[in-house]
Amino acid sequence: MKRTLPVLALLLWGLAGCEESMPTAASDELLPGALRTVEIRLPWDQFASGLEVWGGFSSPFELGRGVIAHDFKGLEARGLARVIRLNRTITVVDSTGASVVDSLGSIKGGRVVAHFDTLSPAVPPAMTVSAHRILTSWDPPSVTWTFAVDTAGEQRPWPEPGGGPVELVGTGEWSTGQGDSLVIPVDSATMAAWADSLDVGRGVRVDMETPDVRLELDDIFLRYELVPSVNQDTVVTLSANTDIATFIYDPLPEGPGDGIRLGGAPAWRTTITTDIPTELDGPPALCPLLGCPFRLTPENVSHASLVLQTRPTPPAFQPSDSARVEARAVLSPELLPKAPLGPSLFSDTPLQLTGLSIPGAAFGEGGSLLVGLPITDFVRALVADPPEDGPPPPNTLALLSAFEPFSISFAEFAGPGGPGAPYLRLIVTVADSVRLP
Amino acid sequence: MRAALLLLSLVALRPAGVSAQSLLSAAGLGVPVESLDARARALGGLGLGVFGPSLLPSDPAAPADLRLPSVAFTLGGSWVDVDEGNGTLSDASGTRFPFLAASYPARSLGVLTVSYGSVLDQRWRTRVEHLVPLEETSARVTDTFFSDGGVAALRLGFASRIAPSLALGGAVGMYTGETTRRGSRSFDSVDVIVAIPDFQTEGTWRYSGFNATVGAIVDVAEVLRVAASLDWPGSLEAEPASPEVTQSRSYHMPVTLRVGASGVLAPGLVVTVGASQADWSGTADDTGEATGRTARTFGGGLEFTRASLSGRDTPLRLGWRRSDLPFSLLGEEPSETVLAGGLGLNLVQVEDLPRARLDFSLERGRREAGSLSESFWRASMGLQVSGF
Repeated sequence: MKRTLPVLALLLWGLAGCEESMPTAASDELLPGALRTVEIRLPWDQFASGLEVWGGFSSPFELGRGVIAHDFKGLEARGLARVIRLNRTITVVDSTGASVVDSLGSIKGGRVVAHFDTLSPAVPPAMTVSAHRILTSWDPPSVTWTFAVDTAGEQRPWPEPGGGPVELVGTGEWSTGQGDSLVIPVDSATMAAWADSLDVGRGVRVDMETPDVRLELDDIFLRYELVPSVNQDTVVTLSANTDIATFIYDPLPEGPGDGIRLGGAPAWRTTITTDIPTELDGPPALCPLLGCPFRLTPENVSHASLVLQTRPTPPAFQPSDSARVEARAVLSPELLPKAPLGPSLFSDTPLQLTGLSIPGAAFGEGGSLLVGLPITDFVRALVADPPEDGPPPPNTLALLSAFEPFSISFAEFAGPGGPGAPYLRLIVTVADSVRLP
Repeated sequence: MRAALLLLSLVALRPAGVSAQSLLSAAGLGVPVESLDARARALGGLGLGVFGPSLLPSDPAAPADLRLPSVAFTLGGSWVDVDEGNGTLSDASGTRFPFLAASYPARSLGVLTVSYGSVLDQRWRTRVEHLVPLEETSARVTDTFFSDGGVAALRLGFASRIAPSLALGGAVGMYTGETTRRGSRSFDSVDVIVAIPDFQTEGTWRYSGFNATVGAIVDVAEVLRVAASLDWPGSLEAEPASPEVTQSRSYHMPVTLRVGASGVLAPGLVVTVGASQADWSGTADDTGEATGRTARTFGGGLEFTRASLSGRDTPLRLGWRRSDLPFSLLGEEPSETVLAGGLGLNLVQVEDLPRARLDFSLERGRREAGSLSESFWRASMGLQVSGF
């Protein structure tokens, strides 16, 4: 008996661990209750009462790259880079073979190196780009086409709108087949001027000279040749620190009128004040299936999305790449446009990191694409019973670019009151409550 | 004793369902599950009127001869192939733990027993895919209904041999267990940019209620044993156990009459027969949607007791049983037919009484309800230990 029990124990243990799988039928005749799903589309005036478009969020400087354009659908844009410092102190080997620190070298010349986005669509095979030395002091974070400095304490216009006056450094031809860089030689006198640390306006302006072109400018570098004082048959190539790059453009876009606008640099946002009904008496398909009046609850709202229809943006600002948009709740609408926003309503979805991607072509001529922004949690909170204590859930929705700023271009959608007006799409599911037979 | 407790602990540590593993659980209150041990299953009967003491809840007088403290339990697994009759085939498997019992002699008065066993299995699920029309398109969805749980009974009994040829027994008990029912819809292809979470509604109910069983055994010259028992089941009460539901239900459970007998055909060869009857129509009426009937079960088998293995008595068994299942499914009245075999192993035997007995059974069965059919294998193993 004693020898048998351990074996028996193992046998029992194994038997008890047999895989459990439940008998499963594939017959709807056995379903004890019905599940019903209906799609409801609420037109604008049944769920929203106000739409406002706000501009001026962030600045081109925060984009970290630039745009250059010349007469592109009326747009002029120029890239600017601040020359922070040209380093003259290097370590060289002297005639005795010893390493010495030399700070008396002379700058012989250099070159402006511009890096372009080679994936920019619809650019001509070749184009002319020019580089200029900026002659006026300017403030990279606040600079605009009109103002060299535009801060809260100071507003100083350019002597010539568009970053002027300037001194031409040189021009160069660039084509997409030659790589992503354009090199424009710089003479020693210009390099010496940029080396002058007393010149607070030191900077490079890069212009597009070929008309009807808009090109993404990834970065501007300044490289220069330095001849050391102790070993003058040596030439050392160095890079200036020019990591402050931005762009200026003209004209600034007009407001979207009755439309919805998101993105741009500075960025646009649109806010919508919602008033989602909790009881519905239609549409006609609803009542026979679910009964009317039908009470919306967080449990029966399976999905809610704000459906927008794209429309062509002004050609100069049409997205050349996908636009990425997201939606957030406005936590304190009374503080708009500077109201704090809640987390992305796309949290816990694959859209959380990138926003909802909309192809750029949807905003081109003839573009008319329906886009559903998932706002299920926002709607569920609004149709829930109001909390006994604490503030009601926010009912103002902010639509914005997932990244601000993301591009000079922006996305536009049809507004209320016209064709393609936004509507709220609800997918509602109800079931007979489960019960015992 | 410690080894026996170890065995019980091992089993108790692994949660095991009390299930019939049948799609017919979808009918009415489910499929009745008899609390049988491996010996009774191998003999095709109801465990009533077999020679020797047992702790089966259906035979409350049988423990009367257990003069030593005893424990018994049965564990089993089943593997089911389901044919819904429309080309849909599926399978299921699971572990069963149909009953656990213990007894303790109360001086010379009789034997006290406690048992826990299954009564109704309510585990089943259905899953259907279909298209739901939306405004301009349609969405593919999968609807699933899931029922998990069942009814069990905890019984406290007493058995006594009041005459050399007559033993009486009775038990009172209470229903336990709970069931969870859940309906859900998953959205497989809706033209939205993000996944739609499953819609789900569910509720849980807990069972209660009292029941009682009385039984008697008559022995005739050690060559014939006749036994009968009667269940007075009372009402099965179902109360909400989750906030989602408020529905309470009460079901009248059927009075069940069981009879069984064993006779010695020849030295070492015993025949056993049994039958039961229960009218479930009242229970079905309480559900308001199922159709019930009088369910009859009858079966029998042969036991060859003179076989041995390694010097230990190893009785061999063969049996057959046919049962009506009480609730109709989609208008069809289901039934179950089982062919069974098995063997026992008396691990420790003192005089004529096994002190430790291990039983195995293997059943091959078929259930049918109209075009629906299920074929299954069911293996059971039981251990009864006395005098620790």
